[in-house]
Amino acid sequence: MKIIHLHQEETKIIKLAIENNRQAQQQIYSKFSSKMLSVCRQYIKDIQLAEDVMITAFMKVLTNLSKFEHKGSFEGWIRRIMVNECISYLRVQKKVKFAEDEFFVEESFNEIDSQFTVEQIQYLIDALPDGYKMVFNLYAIEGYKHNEIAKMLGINEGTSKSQLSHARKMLQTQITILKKQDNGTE
Amino acid sequence: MEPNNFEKDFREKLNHREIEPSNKAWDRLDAMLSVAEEKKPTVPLRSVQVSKRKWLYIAASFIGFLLVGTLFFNQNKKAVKMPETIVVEKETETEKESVKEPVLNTVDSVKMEIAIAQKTSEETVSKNKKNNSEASEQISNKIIQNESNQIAESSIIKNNQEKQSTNNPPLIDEMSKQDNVDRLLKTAETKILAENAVKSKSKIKINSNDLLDQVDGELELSFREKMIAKINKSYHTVKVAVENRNVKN
Repeated sequence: MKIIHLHQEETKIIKLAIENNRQAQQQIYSKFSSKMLSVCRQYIKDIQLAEDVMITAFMKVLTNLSKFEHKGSFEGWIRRIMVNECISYLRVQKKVKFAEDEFFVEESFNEIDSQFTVEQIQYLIDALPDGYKMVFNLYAIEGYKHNEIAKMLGINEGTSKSQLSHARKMLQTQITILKKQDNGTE
Repeated sequence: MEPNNFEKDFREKLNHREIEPSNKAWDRLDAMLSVAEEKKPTVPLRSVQVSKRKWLYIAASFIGFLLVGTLFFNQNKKAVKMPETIVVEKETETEKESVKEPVLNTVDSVKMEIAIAQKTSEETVSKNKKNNSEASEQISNKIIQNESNQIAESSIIKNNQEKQSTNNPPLIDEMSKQDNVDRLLKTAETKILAENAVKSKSKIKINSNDLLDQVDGELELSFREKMIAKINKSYHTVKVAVENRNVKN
C-alpha cells in the first residue's frame, strides 16, 4: 500500500512538474540530484564538470517529463538520461575514441575480494581511460549488455567486450597496487 | 564475462553513494528552466498556431468553395431562367408590336387611301376643269378637299353628281377609273400590310436573337465580375480576420 501511495505521489509531482510547477520540479531535483551527481561523477572526474552535466541532464529530464511513460521506475528513467548525457559529454567534449580492437580475455577476478571505500573505488575508476571507464561503468555498474553498450557508444560489440577486458585488467593491477599499499600501511 | 565480485561490490557502493550538488546548481537549473519557459510558450504555441492556421486555412478554403459553389449554382439557375423571362417578355412585346403595327398600318393605309382619294379627287377635279366650266365651284371644292378628307370625298361625290348631270361620256371613264383606284388601293393595302408584317417579323427575329446574345453576354460578364468581386471580398475578410487574430496573439 505504501508503494502504491508513493507511486501516486510521484505521478502527482510529475504532473505538476509538467505544468511547470517550480516547486514540484525542485522536489524532483532535490530527491534525485545527489544520486545523479554520483552517477555523473562515475564518468567525469571533475566534480564541477560532473555537476554541469547533471544540470543539463536534469534540464532534459524536467522538460521531457511528459515523455515518461510510467512504465519503469522514475529513478531508472532519470538515471538513463544522466548516463546518456555523460556519454555524449565524453564523446562530444572529450572526443573519446575507441580502439577498434576486438581482443579480450575471459578473466576471473573472483579471488579479488575488495574491501574498498567508495572513494577508493572512484579513485580506481577515475584512473581508467575514458573509453574503458565508459564501458566498465555501463557494464559493471549500470548493468547494460554488450550489445546495448555497442549501440549507445556507436561501436562494435567486440570492441565493447575488449574495452571491458582492458578496463578489468587495468583495475586488477590497480587493485593489487592499492592492496599492497594498504598492506604496507597496515 | 559475468560481473565479478569486486564489480558487484563496486556497484553496490557506487549506487548507494550520494554526492550533494552545490547550492548554486539548483539556481542554475531554475534559471535555465525559466529561460526555457519563456521560450517554451512561443515554441509550442507556434506549433499550435500553425496547426490552428492550417485548420483556419482549410475552413476558409472550404467556405470559399461553398460560396463559389452556391454562387455558381444560383447564377446558373438565373442564367437558365432569365432568357425564358426575356423570351416571354419579347413574345409579349412582339405581340404588342404585331398588334400595334397593323393598327399603324391601317392608319397608314387610311392615310394612303385618303391621299389616293385626294389625288383622284384632284384628278377628277382637273378633269372636271376640262369638262366643266364651273371653275369657281371646283376651286371652292378643292379648298374644302385640302382642308378635310371627308369633305373632299363628299365633294367628289358632289362633283361626280354634277358631272353626271353635266356630261355622261366621261362619267363611265371615271367610274372605271374609280374601280381601278379601289383595286389599286386594295392591292396597296394588302402589299403594305404584307410588307409591314414581314418587316415586323424579321425585325422581331433579329431583335430577339441579338437581345438574347447580348443578355447572355451581359449575364456571363456580370457573373464573372460578381464572382471575382465576391472571391476578393471573402478573401479579404478572411485575411483581415487572420491578421487580426495574429496581432491579438
